[in-house]
Amino acid sequence: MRAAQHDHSHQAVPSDLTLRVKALESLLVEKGLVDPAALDALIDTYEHKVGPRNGARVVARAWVDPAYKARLLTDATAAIGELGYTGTQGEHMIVVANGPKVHNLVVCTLCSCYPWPVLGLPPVWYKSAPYRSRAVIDPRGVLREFGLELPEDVEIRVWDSTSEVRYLVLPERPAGSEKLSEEELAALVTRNAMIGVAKVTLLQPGAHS
Amino acid sequence: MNGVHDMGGMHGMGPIRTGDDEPVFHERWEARAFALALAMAAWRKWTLDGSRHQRELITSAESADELLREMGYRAG
Repeated sequence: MRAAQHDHSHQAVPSDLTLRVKALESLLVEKGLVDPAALDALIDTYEHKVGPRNGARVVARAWVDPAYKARLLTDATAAIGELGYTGTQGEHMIVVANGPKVHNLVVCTLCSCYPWPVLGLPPVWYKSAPYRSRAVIDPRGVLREFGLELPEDVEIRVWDSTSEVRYLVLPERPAGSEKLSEEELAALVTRNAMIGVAKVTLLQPGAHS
Repeated sequence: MNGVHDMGGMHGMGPIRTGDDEPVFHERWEARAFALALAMAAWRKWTLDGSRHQRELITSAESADELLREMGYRAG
C-alpha cells in the first residue's frame, strides 16, 4: 500500500506542482521580489556547499581537541560558528555526546526541523511519518531498523527538535582511530551518526552520507 | 493537537525507508520552491509562527507523502 501511494504521488503530483511553483516564481520575479540568479545561488549552496561534511568537521575537531569539545558541549552555536558554520536553522544549536552507556537520537515529531548549517537538508526518512512517530516511543526498535543493535544497559536519549532548537549528536570516536588525522577522522563521520541512527566505525561506509 | 503535525507516539505508520543514497532535491520544483521560500523570507512578510500556521492548514487527511511534497511549497 505504501509503495502504491508513493508511485501515485510521483505520477500525479509533480506536474501540477511544477506548474504552480513556476507560476509563483514568475509572479515574484515580475514583482521584483526575487532574482532568479539568487535562487540558482541558493540551490547551488544547499546542493554543494552545505551538508554533513560540515558536521563531520565539527565532530572530528571535538575528538582531537578537548578544549573545543568542552566549548561545543557548553555553547554549541558559538563553537560550531568557530568553524564558519552559521545561519538559517542553526541559530540555536545543542550538541549531545554519546558515551559507552548513553546514546542520543534526534527527531522532529512536529515536522522536519534539522540543523541545516552542519547537516544540510534532511533526508526523506527523517521527515517521514514512520520515523517521526516511532522514534519517541520505540527508539530501540527504530535503531534496530537502521541496523544498530544497542546493549540493553545503554540508555537512549531522544531529543525532539521543537521551535528553534536544533540538535547534533557527537558520536563516540571509534576504537583504533588514535593515529588518524583530524581530516581522516572527519571522513569516517556519517550524517546518520550525527542524527544518532548509526555509530561511527573505522570502515568507510558504503553509502557515504 | 494530534495528527500529521504532531506525530510523536502515533502507531501504524509502517517501516522506515532507511535508504541512504538520495539527492538533496528530488525534483526540480522542490529546489525552486525551497529557494523561493528562503529568498522570500528575507522580506520578513511572515514569521516563524505564521509559517507554522500555514503548515498546519494542511489537513491530516492528506497523505504523509503528499504532505512532504507540499511542505516546501506552502510553508518553506
